This record gives sequence, C-alpha cells and structure tokens, in this order.
Amino acid sequence: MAATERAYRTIGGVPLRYLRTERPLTQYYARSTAEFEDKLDAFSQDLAEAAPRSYGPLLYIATAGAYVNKPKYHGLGRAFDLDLVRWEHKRCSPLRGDHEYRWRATRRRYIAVDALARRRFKYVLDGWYNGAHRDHMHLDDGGGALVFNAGYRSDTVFVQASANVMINAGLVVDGLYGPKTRRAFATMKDRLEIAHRVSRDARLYRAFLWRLALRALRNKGL
Amino acid sequence: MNDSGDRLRAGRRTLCGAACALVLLGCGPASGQTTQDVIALPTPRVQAASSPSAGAADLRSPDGGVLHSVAAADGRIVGVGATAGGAAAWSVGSDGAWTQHRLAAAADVPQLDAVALAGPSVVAFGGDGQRPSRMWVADGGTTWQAVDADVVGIDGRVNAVTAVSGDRWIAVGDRVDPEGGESYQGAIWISEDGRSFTPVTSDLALAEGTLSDVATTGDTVVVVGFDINGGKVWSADDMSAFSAATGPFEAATVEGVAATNDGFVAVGRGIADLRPLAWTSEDGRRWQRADVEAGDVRPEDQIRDVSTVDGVVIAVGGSLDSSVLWTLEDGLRWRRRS
Ligand SMILES: [Zn+2]
Repeated sequence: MAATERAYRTIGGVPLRYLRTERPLTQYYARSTAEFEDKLDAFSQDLAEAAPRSYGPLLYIATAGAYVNKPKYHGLGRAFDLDLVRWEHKRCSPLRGDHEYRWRATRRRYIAVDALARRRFKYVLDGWYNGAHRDHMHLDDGGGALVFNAGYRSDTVFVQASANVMINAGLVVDGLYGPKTRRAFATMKDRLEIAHRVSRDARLYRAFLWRLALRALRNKGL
Repeated sequence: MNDSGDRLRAGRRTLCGAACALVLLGCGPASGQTTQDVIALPTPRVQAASSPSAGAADLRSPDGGVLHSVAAADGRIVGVGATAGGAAAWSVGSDGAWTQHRLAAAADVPQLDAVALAGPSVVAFGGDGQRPSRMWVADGGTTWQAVDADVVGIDGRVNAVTAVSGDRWIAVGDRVDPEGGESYQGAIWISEDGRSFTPVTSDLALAEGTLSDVATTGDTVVVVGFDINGGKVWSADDMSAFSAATGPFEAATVEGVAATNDGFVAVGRGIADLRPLAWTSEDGRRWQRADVEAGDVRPEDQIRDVSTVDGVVIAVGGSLDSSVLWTLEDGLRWRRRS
C-alpha cells in the first residue's frame, strides 16, 4: 500500500485549498493511501450533512498537508492537517485558533468539526492537545478502534473542552481523566441519550459524536 | 520564513570538507501551481570534473536493501538502511560492491536512518521511529557496535548526522509525540567524541515539524527541515548560534541539503503538488529558488538523504520498500539508478 497511491484535489466532492501562502492556492493535490482518502470523503460528507441548512453548501476545505515526507502517519499517507472548513455562510477555522475564539458559537462549531473528525479518525490532535496544534487539527487513522479511550490525552482533552463549551462544566483541560471529567462526560452522554459504553462500543461512540456535532453546529448546548 | 527571530544556541564547530559537486535539479511531474516564480540561476559548478567520478557514478542500491543514508570521506563510502530482516549497514569494497556489516544488538530495530563518516570512525542512528534513536559506531571493524542509550543522550529521532572537521558531530531530527508518534519539535544534538551527544536547544519553534538534514562547508553549518508553515532553514558559523535563513521556502518541504563548490543546495517538494524544488545559497543565509528540470523523480519517491560522494551529489530515497539512488550529472539533472 503506497503512501501516495491516491492523488486528489477534492474530498467528498469538496475542493481542497491551501491558505498558508500570501496568495492562497485554490487547488491542492493531496496524496494518501486509498483507504485514508475514503475516510476523508466520509468526513467531508458528514460536514455537509450535519450542518443546518442555514450554513449553505460546503465550498472548500483548507489543508496544511496530507502525505509529506516525514516519519509516521504523514509519511505513510495516513494523516491530514485541517486548517479550515468553509460553508457558504459559516466557517470553522482551526488556522485562526477557533478552539479558543471569543464567541461561544465559534467554539461550538470547532467542537462539532472535531467530533465529526473523530467519527472517522482515531487520532485527532486539536488545539487543546498541545502547542503544535493550536493552528490546525491533525487527523490520522492510527491508534486502533474508533472508541473513546480514557488513556489517550487526545481523547480526554476533547471531552473536557466539549464539556466546557456544551454544558459549562468548568473543567481544567489537562487531559487527566479524573472524577470531574468522568461526571461531565456522563452528563453529556445522558443528555444525548447515549449509553455509557463508548469505550467498548464504537457504534455508540460514533453516535455520541454525531449528536454532539448536530447540537454544536446549531449553537445549542446540551 | 516567519520565525527569523529564532536563534539556536550551539557549541563550537568547524567544518567539513568535502566539497561537492552539485547541482540540483529536479523534475517534476505536474502541473500544479507554484507560489512564486521559479528563478533560473547559474548552475552550481561541479568541483573537479564535470562528470561524476567512477565511484559515485557506479553506485547502486545494495541488493535486497533500501538505502536511507549514505556518507563518504577519504575514499570510503558507507550506507545504512533496511533489508527484509531489519536494520542494515553496508560499505563499498574495493570491487565497488556493497558489503553488509553485522550490527550488534539490532535484532528489534527495523531500520537505520542516518550515517556519518570521519576517518576510521562511523556513527549511525536508527530505531523504530517512535522511541528515541539508538546509535551504533564502528572504528574500522566489521561489526558495528551499539552504544548504550544513557551514554548517547539522544532524546528524539535522528534524521541526519554529519561529521564536522573530523572530530565533532552534529545530528538533527525531532522529538516525537508519545501518543501519536508525530514529530512536534525539531532538535539538534552535538558531540565532540562521537559517543555522547547533547541537545543544542530544547525548542526549535517548529509546529508539527522536523529537521531533515544537515550539511557543512567552510565555517558554515546549514540545517534544513519543514513544519506546518513550510520549509525552514537555519545556518550557523562555528556552531555557536543558529539563525533562520531567508528564502522562498513557503508551501514547501525542505528534505535534504548538501554542500557544493559554490555553497549549498537544498532540495524538497511543493506541498500542494509534490513537485521537486531546489534552492541554492552561497553562504547558507540567503537562499534563492533554483530552476528544476523535469526528470527522474516521481511523486511517490521520498528523498531520504542528500550527500556528496567523490565530489558528486547523490540522493537516496524511494518508496517504503524500494530503494532509488540518483546522481547529479553535468550539473543539470538527477539521474535515477537502481
Ligand atoms: Zn499533522
């Protein structure tokens, strides 16, 4: 399976762009494995389907890179750096640091995109994960089954940030899965009517992420 | 470059010699747009002759092996990489063929990534890409010995290493996220004995970035790499302070650098189309884009190492399980070899 076996300039039919130049590139040829591109296609379709009609259609998705020549998942053609999602009337910009933007609606939109990514990719490294990801979201499909893993900082900071943005949990986003985080997560699952077995049942975790994204995209708490 | 203020502190140094021939070039498939106009520059001159010496011109990949790095000095050539059985090391014998060496304590190591040579001493790094690199050394013997990690002191993944004036060494690479395994920070380590390394700095201000290669000539050391914002190049005199170089590195990965008779050449790819790119510099501080000819570099080819052998610049790379070796001929183009 070659790291560059697929070359494409759209995902799920949505054009890719590159914004990290003085003049943004309106065409971007990403390369990855075929399996990884299929997951990107599904993610893109989720972004279009989950958004309310008022957002308008998805216009483009900006990336900072898919396959690049470095060790691990980017070098294997199994990673994608997400800079921005642009619907006709709304945007979510990890590039701008939307995870800590001053408007809650913007932070909720970031949570929604983050959640939808997690339905397809086990490793989503977001703005809360570490300083290297404050300006983009890294997606890769290493890490095993698509379930919640309390031992992964990448999962726990997302749950903590989601609880803060969606139910005002007031948690410290430190990646430690302690009693407060556990309680806040349970509250979110209850309010979304999801059974608590999201660490074992991928179907349940994906349902949780979908319902969370639907609420967040509509700027509604839980 | 948006971090011209970065300065990396380092120890002393000198320089390596081996001038090189060079050239650069590249090739590229693709249409795709570039972010700036390509500037056609005078081609760097090949050092002695305008064609590769017999040694470099005859180099091929070892049978059954994938080269990840090659080093040459004083008429010797060594290479490291992988075979189906794991990490591997070779040297070129008097018959011009690769001879594989035994690697001590390497049973669980999938590959070696970097090698440097100075006099009788060889230093090599490798590992599993997740944990800090391990080191092997050879001082003329046929078996390369592993060095205890506590002695080595490398706390990241080494992508390239080079000798400086025969008695100092500089290694470059990155530090690895313990959860996902991605590099998140570039790193430089230096050594005066080829055994024990110390980090130059704890923070190279790379965002999800890596340092891919290092080259030296005269009093100048050049370190290249890239991160989420594009290519990054630093230079230092006397290895005492690295500062960001200036050049059109945006929307690019810088994946290799070599010394030339006229300074340095760096090679990389366009981020949006994988088109091969090249930059040249006389002093390592100010860089220009060089015209790249279409040629024998395919989109799927990784460039793992660029180095100088007998005055000729060669590159090694390929896909995950195939080895490609290019030589630069007539200062104009990469020529693909087995
Ligand atoms: Zn990434």
